[in-house]
Amino acid sequence: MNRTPTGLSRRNLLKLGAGGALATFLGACAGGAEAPGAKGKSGKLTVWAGFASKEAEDWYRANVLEAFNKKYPNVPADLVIKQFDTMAQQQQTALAAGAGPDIVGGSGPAALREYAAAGYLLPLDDYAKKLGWNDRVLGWAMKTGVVDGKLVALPTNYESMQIFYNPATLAKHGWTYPKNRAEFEAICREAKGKGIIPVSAGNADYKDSNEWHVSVFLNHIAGPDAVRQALKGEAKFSDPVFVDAIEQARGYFTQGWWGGAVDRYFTNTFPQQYQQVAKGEAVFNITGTWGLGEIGPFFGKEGGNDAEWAWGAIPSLRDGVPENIWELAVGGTRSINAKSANPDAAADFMDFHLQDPKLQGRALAEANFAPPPIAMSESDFPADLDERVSSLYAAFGDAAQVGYTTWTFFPPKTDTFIIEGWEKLITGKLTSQQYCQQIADTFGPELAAGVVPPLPE
Amino acid sequence: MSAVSVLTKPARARAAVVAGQRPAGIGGWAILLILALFAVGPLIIFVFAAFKTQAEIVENPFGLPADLLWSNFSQAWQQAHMGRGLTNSLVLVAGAVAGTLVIAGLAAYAMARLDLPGGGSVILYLLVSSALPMQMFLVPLFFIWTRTGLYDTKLGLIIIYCATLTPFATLLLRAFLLTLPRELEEAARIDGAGELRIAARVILPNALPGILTVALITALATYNEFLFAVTFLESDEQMPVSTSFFAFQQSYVQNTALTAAAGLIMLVPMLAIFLVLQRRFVEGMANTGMAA
Amino acid sequence: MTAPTVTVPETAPATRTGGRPRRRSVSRRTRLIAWLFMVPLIVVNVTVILWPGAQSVYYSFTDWSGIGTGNWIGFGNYTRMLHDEEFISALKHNLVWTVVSLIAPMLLALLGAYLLSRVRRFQVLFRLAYFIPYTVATVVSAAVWENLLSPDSGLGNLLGVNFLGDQDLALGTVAGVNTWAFWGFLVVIFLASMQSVNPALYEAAALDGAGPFRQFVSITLPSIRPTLVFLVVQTIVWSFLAFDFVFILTQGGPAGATDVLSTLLYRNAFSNLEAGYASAIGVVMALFTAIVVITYQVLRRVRKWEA
Repeated sequence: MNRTPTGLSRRNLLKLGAGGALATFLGACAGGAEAPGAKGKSGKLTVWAGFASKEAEDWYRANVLEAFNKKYPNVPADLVIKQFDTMAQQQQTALAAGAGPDIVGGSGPAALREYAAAGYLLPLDDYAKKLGWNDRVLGWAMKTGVVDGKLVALPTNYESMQIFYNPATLAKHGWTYPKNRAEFEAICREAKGKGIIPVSAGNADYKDSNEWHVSVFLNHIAGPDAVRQALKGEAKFSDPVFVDAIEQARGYFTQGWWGGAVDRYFTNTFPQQYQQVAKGEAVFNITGTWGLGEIGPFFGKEGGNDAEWAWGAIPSLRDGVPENIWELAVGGTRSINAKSANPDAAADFMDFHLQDPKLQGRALAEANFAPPPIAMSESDFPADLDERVSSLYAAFGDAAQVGYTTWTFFPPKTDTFIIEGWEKLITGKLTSQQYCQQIADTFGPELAAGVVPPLPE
Repeated sequence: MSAVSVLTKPARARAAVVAGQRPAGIGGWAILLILALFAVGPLIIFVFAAFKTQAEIVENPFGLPADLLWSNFSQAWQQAHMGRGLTNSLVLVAGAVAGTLVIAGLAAYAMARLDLPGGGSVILYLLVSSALPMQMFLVPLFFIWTRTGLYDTKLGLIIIYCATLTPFATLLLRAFLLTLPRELEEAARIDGAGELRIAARVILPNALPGILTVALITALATYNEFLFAVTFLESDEQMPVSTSFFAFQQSYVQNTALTAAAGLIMLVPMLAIFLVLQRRFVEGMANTGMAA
Repeated sequence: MTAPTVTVPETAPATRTGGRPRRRSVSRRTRLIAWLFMVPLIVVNVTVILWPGAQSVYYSFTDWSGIGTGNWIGFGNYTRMLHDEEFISALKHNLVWTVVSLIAPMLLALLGAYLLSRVRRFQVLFRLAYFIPYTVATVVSAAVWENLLSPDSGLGNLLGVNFLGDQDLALGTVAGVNTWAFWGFLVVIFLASMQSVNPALYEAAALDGAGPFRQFVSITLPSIRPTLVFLVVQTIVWSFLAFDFVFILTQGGPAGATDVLSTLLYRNAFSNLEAGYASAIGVVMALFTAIVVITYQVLRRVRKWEA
């Protein structure tokens, strides 16, 4: 019986800021935090959390929640299990009604900025000083929680994008793992000719997964320098470098390299995509590091086959774009509700997840929780951690250059258009030129309004 | 429609013989069967899936299961917390049905039997309010519910269901009450009986089929409702079966077999209620103005 | 507010001894009682529907994001709608949905109910079979159909068609799934209506040599006309609210091909952080509904239909 995180949960994990993070999406309805007359739960942190599986939940309860309550018995935390699909809507509804969780979960800059602007979130700078967060949390990740000069959120985990593949499939067809555009496209062309799907892909389970691919195309075709310049307003998203990149990517889709055919892209589910790689029906799968927690059960005994999976870095897809680029993303954030009656306890709760690197290492090894963006050394990861998992994080950590994911570094309306417009692009309702022009048109006002998230140094 | 003409002859022949009954003929039966297959066919495949292993579903998605894997049901029952969910659903359904019947019953009675002044505009209002996109009410409602302590209580959810279901229920009951002869309560009224007593003793028994119809529709709507349940309940202990199923399905998308088993378990109570009430239900429909 | 209804029955013992009551006073008292009977409905309706509805109307004139507070922007959201391609295409999809729902489930249900009304044996069984899809929760039926239509293993594979992935087919497919879930409900109501038709009419027609089809057209249809009209109106109203299957099966995709007003509303309210605009969409949806309903009411009055 397969009880691993599946497509549905993964997609939501990402969007709602859980991203495989510990306790993923958190919120706490503590006593006076709620509106007057609301059900009182004084002296308690009620934490909203969504989990990819029952196992993950049990693991979290036994290893994190209990440990926290032992260490901080005065205001114990109490878990309320939420479903990823509806949690963002529920939280937004609750906050707008002046109630809602003490610890506010976030998925990225979009809602975070709005929440901060509306005064929903407690500034965390004092806690950061008191609890020493700046010393522990990686600088670039910490910056993503800064809105208008104030720290309002802590990143829960970090993510990147990579390729999964089945080495046996490559071997069978005499291919070697591609290092550049020419090699990559040669394999895709040949595979397509043989009736094999070059890249298993699809958004049936999670429409917003469009942006995973766009992020990859922007960083690996246009290149991270171009993206950075555009985000800073020094270049435009309608510049030829982007139009050409999008046109190249559009070609990948319309030739059926991604998902087999454009219409299939709309109906392929996540489990299907992993299965296709396992069975040799697809060569590659492009997804994020959250995929580490999902791919296992489709391979080997559990998957009813003798296939193995491996990961590889996404190759440079244009001459002049360096190899070994890793996209940066924050999978989720935690903030404290401005109306929390127990803000100190909430801060302790957030802090607890950053305290013990060994615990985080075990969380990764035993329950597939992506690690928080804190400095972790090799010895923090248990010996039985899958070597493929540790090596992926190591490679990501040694990245020569970082790329910028749309869900972490792009402002909200631009991000929304990138997702929505992508479907129009691949179905021929927009040209690459129009798509890029509309990204630029949406981005301009947001840049002027100062809602573009800060970039890493 | 051409299929219908096939049955023209035998139907006519027999219709002439058996007074009051107009058999459908072989073509008619065939169509009835095809329609039944259309309705139930997809679900039969679903039933099969509930007895298969996951691997079997991938290999043989539509055929009969090789073995009857009953353990899927016990597994789904446990993992989806269906016992707890069904109990909660029972409370919600009972509360919503009772509340809706009382509220809609009183209102319908006022409109149909007491000549409510301004009844025409009330009908219009009810029709419109039964047809509003409820998604846009979530935030204002949440505001009120957290401030009145109704948030995360079954009572709070029941009130929402009562409010959203009464417009349709009232219109249906009103239509039904209109078909009952006026003399029924005129006599009682002359005898000096109070309006509530007239309603309870005279009208209620006669209106039973209509009331049961409303009960069934309310029960179904409540049982399957999802958006309000997931928004206005917070604790696991309160969750009805519709949200437990959804939660379960989300974390087990991979396992179609368990999802199917849980879906089937969820279906049983409503089917049972329909079976028990169906005769009354049809009668109720037949007697409302709706079906006049 | 609600208490008075409880005390209502203890009314005027005088009438018991006073012989024949004067018609007028009874009538006035009855009117008061009538409104007292309305109190519970008014209370819940105002709390859950009218008040939040009024707030939504207010929001529709603001640029509220759904978070914090908004600014008054007058008719800004409404004029924006006129130029919003997504809104116009969603509206078109609702119209297509309405047309499909008025044809497919109606015809199926009329056919099924008419044939069922002619048989007695197994009638309960068929009725049950037809009604079952309506009792299945949307999440469950969506899962069933997703598997069934799958281009990899299901009907889609058999026919070489990707029902939910093809822009030209997706909307019809989702409306079709909705038809499947919905038509059995119509059968039961039509059947009930048909069974109350006087059998003598059919006998007379049969003696005149009218076949089942002629009988259906000349007797059944006219007899159930009020029911038919009522259900047509309901179907139009429900078509404008269509949400569940679209939301679960396609999320409005591919490329917006199945977007309808309520999914657009939901997306604006919760994903795009445009709650003001979402409210305006909701208000427009309500207006459409009101127009349909008022037309129905006027027709009813003009044609003097019962109920």
